[in-house]
Amino acid sequence: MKLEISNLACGYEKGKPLVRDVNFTLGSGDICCILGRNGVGKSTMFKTILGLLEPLSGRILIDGEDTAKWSPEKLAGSVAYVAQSHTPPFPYLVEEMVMMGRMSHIGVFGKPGKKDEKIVDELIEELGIDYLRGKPYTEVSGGERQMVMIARALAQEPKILVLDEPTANLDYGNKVVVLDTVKSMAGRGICTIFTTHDPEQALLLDAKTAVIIPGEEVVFGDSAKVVTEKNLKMAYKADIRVVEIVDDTGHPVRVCIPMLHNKDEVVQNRMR
Amino acid sequence: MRTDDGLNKKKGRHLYFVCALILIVMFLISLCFRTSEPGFEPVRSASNLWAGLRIGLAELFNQPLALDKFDIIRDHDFYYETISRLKESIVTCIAGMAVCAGGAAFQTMFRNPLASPNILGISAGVNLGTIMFLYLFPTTAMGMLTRRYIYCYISAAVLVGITMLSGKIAGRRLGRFSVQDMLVVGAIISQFGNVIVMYFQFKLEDIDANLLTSYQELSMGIYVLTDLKSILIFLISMAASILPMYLIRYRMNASVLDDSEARSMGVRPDRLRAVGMVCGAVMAVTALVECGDMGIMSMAIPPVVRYLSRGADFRKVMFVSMCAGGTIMLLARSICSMIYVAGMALPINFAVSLIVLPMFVIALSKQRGVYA
Repeated sequence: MKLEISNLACGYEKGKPLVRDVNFTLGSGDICCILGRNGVGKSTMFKTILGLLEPLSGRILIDGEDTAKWSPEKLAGSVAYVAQSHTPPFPYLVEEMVMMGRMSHIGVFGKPGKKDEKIVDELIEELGIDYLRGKPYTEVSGGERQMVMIARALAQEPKILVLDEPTANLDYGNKVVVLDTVKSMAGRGICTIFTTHDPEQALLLDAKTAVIIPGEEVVFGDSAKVVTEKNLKMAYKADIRVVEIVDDTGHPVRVCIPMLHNKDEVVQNRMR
Repeated sequence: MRTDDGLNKKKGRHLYFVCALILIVMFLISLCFRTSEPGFEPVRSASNLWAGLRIGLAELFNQPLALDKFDIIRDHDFYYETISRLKESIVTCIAGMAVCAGGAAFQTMFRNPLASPNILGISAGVNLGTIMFLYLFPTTAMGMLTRRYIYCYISAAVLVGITMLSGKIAGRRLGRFSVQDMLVVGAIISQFGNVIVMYFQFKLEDIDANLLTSYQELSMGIYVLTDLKSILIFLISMAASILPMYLIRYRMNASVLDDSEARSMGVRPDRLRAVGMVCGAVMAVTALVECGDMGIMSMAIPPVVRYLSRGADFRKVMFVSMCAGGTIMLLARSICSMIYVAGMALPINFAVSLIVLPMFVIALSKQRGVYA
């Protein structure tokens, strides 16, 4: 699988792109982290990749085919999406939620068959959420819900998985579980694109990283080269230190620490 | 396949079987209640139905029939009562099933556990159609009940259309569209429809006070008076609306998701909602015309079913709600047909409310915290 995004501009009004000059190529098993401040257009870019918004210019190609010409059904066969957070108003059971991921493989008048049940069973076991079977989705914790949503997206059997801030509002323990799952999906050959407000997640996952800087061309490359103090300052209009520490195994790990001394400067910069 | 999963499926199948069985038993009981001189007479009812079937077939195929062989010669009144009970049982059972299926669909589509087809102004539309029908045909209305369907369908379609359009315009002006906005718009349009109904109620009273009584009778449901032509319209409308919804019952689950999530799963939520709304609206109007306002059923039964059956898969909620709706309507019909107040049988929606409300209150109080 090859995802090529060339000269992509996304937005809601013609002539007023929120994000422009997006160029990158991803392959099977790649992890791509999108960084940028609130309202910069990360979700708009996701909606464009998912076919929910038409590109203002440029193209999105999957295996050489322009996805703009694809039907939602065909696109769903390649790209799956995990939204930031959404709780249905009804107490769907966890396995019912995961089964919804098979919707793209089931016809309009169809219902889940034995093959669908087998896929869902395997995914639930693989992601370690077996203990949640029979529980209403509305009664499980935030981290567990995120895992259920990932299982639902994987049930779609996608080549590309798009996750909108998968670790938002999660504690450290749940963040580790979700990031570990993202890593294992790469191992399965799934290309994963996610947004986050924690730049060190890009470093931890050794992901390819796209930094959206307002009014500038999107900076794309390996996290080690892209997640720099300079790029982060331009993206977030704040001083963020990138420091190196050593983990238990002796390997160097880089982490990002925001500096709190210049709040007024941040506010002024953002207002410009 | 996991063992506990297999057990869950077995439980699910048992639930379907038990619900269908209860409905069938209730239907048979409903056929056997003698109401003119209250009593439970299953053998004579069965004998009358068998006779009715043979007479009907003989008429259909133009075959000779020796009527002296049948008990109906000796039991003429009870024969007609049995046939009329069959008609009433079929109509009330299907109306109850449809109203609950429509309620389950609207709650799923509007992502609101208390939504029902009436929120779009359907109930007000049917009342408006009924009163216009009486106003235009004051002397002949009760003799041409079939035509009432046309007026009710048109006025309900107009009010629902205004609600949808106003909701869309309001959504555009606010820059967003939410289910809550639609509910508010629906409530306002319904109120507007009710004001027109009230105006025509005074006009009817002005023409002839008896017309107002006729309006009240029609509003409470005409299933007792209904004729064969009306039943045919009723059955065709119900089949045309229940069948498509039954076919897309698994797909309906996607409408509970955020639109972007549903689209990313290859589902077109706008089309799904359009089909669901048209089917739900047709079911609600048809049921309202025959059995009067049963909004409480469409609102209350699906949440009770979700509480009792665990889970919210639309396939299960729709099937069990339909069975529960049919059963409750049959029970209500049997009760009402035996209680006469001021020379008239008790309105069916009176008994429906008495049966449904306590269940609804218990289910809601037990589910606090389940609904996020």
